[in-house]
Amino acid sequence: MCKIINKYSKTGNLKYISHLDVLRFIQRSVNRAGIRAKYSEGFNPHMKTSFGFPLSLGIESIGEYFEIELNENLPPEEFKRKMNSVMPKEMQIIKSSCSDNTNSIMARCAYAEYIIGIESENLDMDRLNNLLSEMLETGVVYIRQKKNKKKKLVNKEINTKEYIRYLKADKSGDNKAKIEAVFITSETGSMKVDELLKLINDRAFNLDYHTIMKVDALDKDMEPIL
Amino acid sequence: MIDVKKLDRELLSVEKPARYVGSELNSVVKDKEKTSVRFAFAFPDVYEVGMSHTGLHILYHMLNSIENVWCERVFAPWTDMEEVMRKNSIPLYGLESKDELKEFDFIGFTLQYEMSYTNILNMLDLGGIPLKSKDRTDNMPIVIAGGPCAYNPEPLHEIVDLFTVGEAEELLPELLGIYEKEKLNGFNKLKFLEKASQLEGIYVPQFYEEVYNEDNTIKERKVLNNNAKDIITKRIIKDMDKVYYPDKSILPYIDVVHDRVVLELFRGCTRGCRFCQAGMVYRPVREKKSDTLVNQAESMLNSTGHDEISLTSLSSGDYSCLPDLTLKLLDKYENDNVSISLPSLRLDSMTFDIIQRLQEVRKSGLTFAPEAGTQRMRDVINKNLTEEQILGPVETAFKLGWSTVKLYFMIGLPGETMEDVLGIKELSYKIKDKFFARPKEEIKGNLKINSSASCFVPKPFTPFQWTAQNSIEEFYDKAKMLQREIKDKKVSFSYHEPKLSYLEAVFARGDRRLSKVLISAWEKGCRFDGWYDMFDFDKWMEAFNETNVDPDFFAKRQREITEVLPWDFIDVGVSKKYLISEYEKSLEAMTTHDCRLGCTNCGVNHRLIGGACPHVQNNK
Repeated sequence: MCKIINKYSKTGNLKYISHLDVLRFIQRSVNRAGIRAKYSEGFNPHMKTSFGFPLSLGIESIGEYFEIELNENLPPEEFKRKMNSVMPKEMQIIKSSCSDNTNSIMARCAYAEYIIGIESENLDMDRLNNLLSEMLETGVVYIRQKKNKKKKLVNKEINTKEYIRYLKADKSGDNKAKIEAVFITSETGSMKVDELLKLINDRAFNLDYHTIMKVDALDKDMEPIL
Repeated sequence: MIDVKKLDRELLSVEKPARYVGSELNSVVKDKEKTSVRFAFAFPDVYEVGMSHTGLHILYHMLNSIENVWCERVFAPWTDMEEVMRKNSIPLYGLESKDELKEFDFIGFTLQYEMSYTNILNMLDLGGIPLKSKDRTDNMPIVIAGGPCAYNPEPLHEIVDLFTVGEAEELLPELLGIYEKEKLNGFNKLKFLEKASQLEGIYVPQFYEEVYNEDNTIKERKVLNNNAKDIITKRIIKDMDKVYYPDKSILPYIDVVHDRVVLELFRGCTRGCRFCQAGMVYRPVREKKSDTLVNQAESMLNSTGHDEISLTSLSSGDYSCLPDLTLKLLDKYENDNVSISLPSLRLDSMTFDIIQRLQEVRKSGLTFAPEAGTQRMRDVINKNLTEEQILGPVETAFKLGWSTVKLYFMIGLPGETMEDVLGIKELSYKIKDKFFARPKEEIKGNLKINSSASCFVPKPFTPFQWTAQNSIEEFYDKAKMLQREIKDKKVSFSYHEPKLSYLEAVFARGDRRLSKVLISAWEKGCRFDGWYDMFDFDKWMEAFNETNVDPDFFAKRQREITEVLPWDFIDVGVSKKYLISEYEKSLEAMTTHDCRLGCTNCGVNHRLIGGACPHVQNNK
């Protein structure tokens, strides 16, 4: 009985569902599909699953990951088929495979790839791409406010170039652009797409609307996890 | 459809945006071109509370099982979302279609507690719908309301077009049938309301008038329309095995208050506690067969993937096939990590073997509701529970390894003395002593007793419907005294906000004059009054002042038995004569036995079912 690793999507209205809620929803989907999962021991047994980095609210994704241990011999393909028949169209398993990697999904993730759609009046593409390469090459420094353990606000300086691997914008219509971005993710910290958008906004691009799609999570060799 | 892009742009700025987007598993989306009646099931509280309400799941799927009806859900947006909606002119909409409320044929509010009434006004207003029935034209949605608070509908008489009184599973389809017929030949609201008022269990407030005496009591009710009945009789479902019950329930993505499969074992209750409105208005007891329940559990689990089944009823332990049912469910699901919980259980030795087995899947805490601290007080309210019947099971529970106990009490019960109040402390301490009165080696775990006191609110259709409520000061005196007296690290004491209970009491026994108070309070910004941090007592008091309505008249006044009560025109099956005799017995601290052991002549069988109630054991 192998551990099964799955790549799944989270699109449409499900972009408003938090990480914890997704976790519970997938475990319930396992129950609905009649699949026998392994459980932990103890007073409050819970299903043995593990997930990748939490996705921020408001971001759609076609590159989310989870692993699960089963109590029955079920080929990954069959697991995928059974799960997809009880999951909504906004959340479907794209790929399943046996996993013998002992590292956690989070430990395997080195990069996250995004496609960001923006809309703005009088969008100047050259000016936008100049800003993006400045972020990538020389770096733009901004302040991140966080609450520390004593619930006090502390300021932390962040330099974009330490967290961005790739960043480029293409025109996609009238006053519309698509930005492709690869961020460095690590367990010690990463940059959020929202922070990137705020930096663009602060440089006098008034964004009217945006969409964010996470395309995949990549390992240290820039290959998709699955 | 509302401007979805605009909504999408704003949603991330509010707390829990998933409250406002729908798309859950088992929610129903239909082609609106193919439906002729669009019904918005409106729950006047936040999503997490509304989605925990079993009635919503039943009626939602029941209505959607009718081909040409599309039932959607709408909840009260939290204050942050309200602000966003008002600022960006996003009207309130149905979750499934995102169509604004105005496009619906019906908006059906469920009235679960009085403190949700301002949310009803707010939801109508957010939908751009006039608050008052008389201001709504023929092409606007019909606003209906039902649920337990509809047993005293009068405070909402100006707002709601018609009330459904009693259980609605059979009544709603009848009502929608009439509506469709009326729609065929050019819809006229008045004509529809006249036709609807001929159905059993429908109350149309505009067909009546309340006339008052000099002293502000009610002189009489006048019927203004020939189609309207003098007396509105509640509807009941006769056969719980045949009545509609959904085979699936909507699975919320976010954490809601009750996140489990709910099985309704039976309706009604035979205990006859005198403070309990549900125990009176849901009579007679009607059980489901255990096989029906096992089947319902199976389809619900398969369609949701929940890992917990809750067996609910007013008093689950009274279900006649409880051992049989729980053992069947345990045998079936024990190995699937599905746990079974039994809320509202009265403990005796029979149920303990079961409880022990239930705990093998997941451990849960113990909750007892002695309601009062002294035997005299428990006899007054007819709780029919002796101290021995409380301490015995507690002792057993400690033996079996429990160490956390919740105790529910009430303060301000009719005829309560300070000694009775102190009884709450005494009983909590006796339970603590039971824990430690064992050999050291047997004591396991860390004892924690949480005693809480709620403030008694007299309710219509109970033997206490005539009694005065304690004043806010009296409640505070009693609660504060207990807080001073209970000084044990193992026992914690908390109490409910008296000001809230006072307002609840005003509306619970209110009449038509409260309608203007409600509108005024809403205009001042009252929302989510049941949420303590939202509740603004001073605004409410301003509203009473400005409308010249004295709230004490409704909360703190002892009524005469002969007085005309605002809800007298509703027949719940239990006779007034019975309520009076129960009230008189309470004054003597005399108890009335559980009516399973023999009919106590409440009258429900003569008037609603004909013949003896099925649960009475001596009617062979």
